[in-house]
Amino acid sequence: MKNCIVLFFVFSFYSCSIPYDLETRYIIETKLVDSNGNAIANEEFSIYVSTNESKTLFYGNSNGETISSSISDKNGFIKMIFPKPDVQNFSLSLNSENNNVTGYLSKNIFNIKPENFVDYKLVLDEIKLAKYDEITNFDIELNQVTQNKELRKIEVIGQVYTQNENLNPDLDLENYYDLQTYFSLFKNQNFTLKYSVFNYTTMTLEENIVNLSITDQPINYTLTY
Amino acid sequence: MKNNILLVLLLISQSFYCQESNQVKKVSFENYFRFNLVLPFQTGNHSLANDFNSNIGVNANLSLVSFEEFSFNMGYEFSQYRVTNFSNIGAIDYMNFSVIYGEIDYDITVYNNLKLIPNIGYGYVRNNYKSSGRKFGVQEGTEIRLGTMLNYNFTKTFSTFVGFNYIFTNLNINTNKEYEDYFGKANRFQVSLGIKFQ
Repeated sequence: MKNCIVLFFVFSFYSCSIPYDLETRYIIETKLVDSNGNAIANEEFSIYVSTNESKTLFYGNSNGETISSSISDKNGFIKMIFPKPDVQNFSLSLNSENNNVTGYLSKNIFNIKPENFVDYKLVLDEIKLAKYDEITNFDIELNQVTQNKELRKIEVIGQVYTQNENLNPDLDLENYYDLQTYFSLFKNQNFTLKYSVFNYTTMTLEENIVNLSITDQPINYTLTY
Repeated sequence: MKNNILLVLLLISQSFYCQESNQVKKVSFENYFRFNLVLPFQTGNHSLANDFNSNIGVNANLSLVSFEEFSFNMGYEFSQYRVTNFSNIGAIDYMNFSVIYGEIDYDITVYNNLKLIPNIGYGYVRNNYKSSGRKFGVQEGTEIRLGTMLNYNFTKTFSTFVGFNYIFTNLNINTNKEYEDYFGKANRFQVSLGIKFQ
């Protein structure tokens, strides 16, 4: 009986693993730069494969695995070649962890689809990484004062450090991100907060713009609607 | 007249007998078996040379038919390649490189028990990509094998040999044009040392 249980788990693990088409190889290339546009060397990135299609938001989803990793060269150039997952629907994410050695914050470009590859190759724009000490927090506290209004969208326009970027935004994910209330901003800058509120009394969408500035201290902003 | 007919019949039968005995001498189905270790050395700029570390492999080979100094044999070769460049291959530990091939040998007696055996072969390649307890997938291809062996007969049934082969491999690949040759073609020089029973 004990052996049967062990065998069951062994076969369960086998059934979870993703098959690959080793006769098809994808290539992802990009360049890593700091906030001043200088190349970042020795920063590690990995490719995570998920079979959970567009619902996969973050690195670490249980239906996936890391299929490749690489370290940027002295020019900040990073290249990863890996076999195509041999399943119907899959998405990829390009990830770096918070790096305590180089001091750069994590980055996750997710929801990468097969259709993003041209001739099996995807060249991403330069990826800008920020260090811990370059960033401060802008937190928004929502304060709903009437039931007739619904907050629909929040947007920060300025030098924002986006740790999670969606390469193929779709409706579900947009809704998820539009109500983001936590932002990492580069220190010492003026920026704009834009938000939309739907008014059920007038059945109109109200657009609001607030100009703000941030120093090296975090801001807790109360958004009343 | 009767004697003449008998003579002609005798000559004809003798001629058939000669032909038959010559054929027996020329075509042989006597088998021999070779087993050897192979040490591959990759040459050129391709994935097998740059992204893997090759190990000593094994080769087994059985002759099927011989005709005069020619013999046709079938063989199986296996070697394991460790992945060293994960950014080019993926998070995979190793690849099992196996080949089933057909080969034509030609025996040239150099001195007494010493033979030089040039050969040419064509094979089907199947590369299995794995990590411990995990299969990732398979890449197939073909290869052309050119080489020669130096064979020494200790007895009528046992000999030993050293072989040198140059092997061109073509692997099935769909990728960016820039990398088609890199992942799709490979050349290797191979040294082998083995024994032969017949």
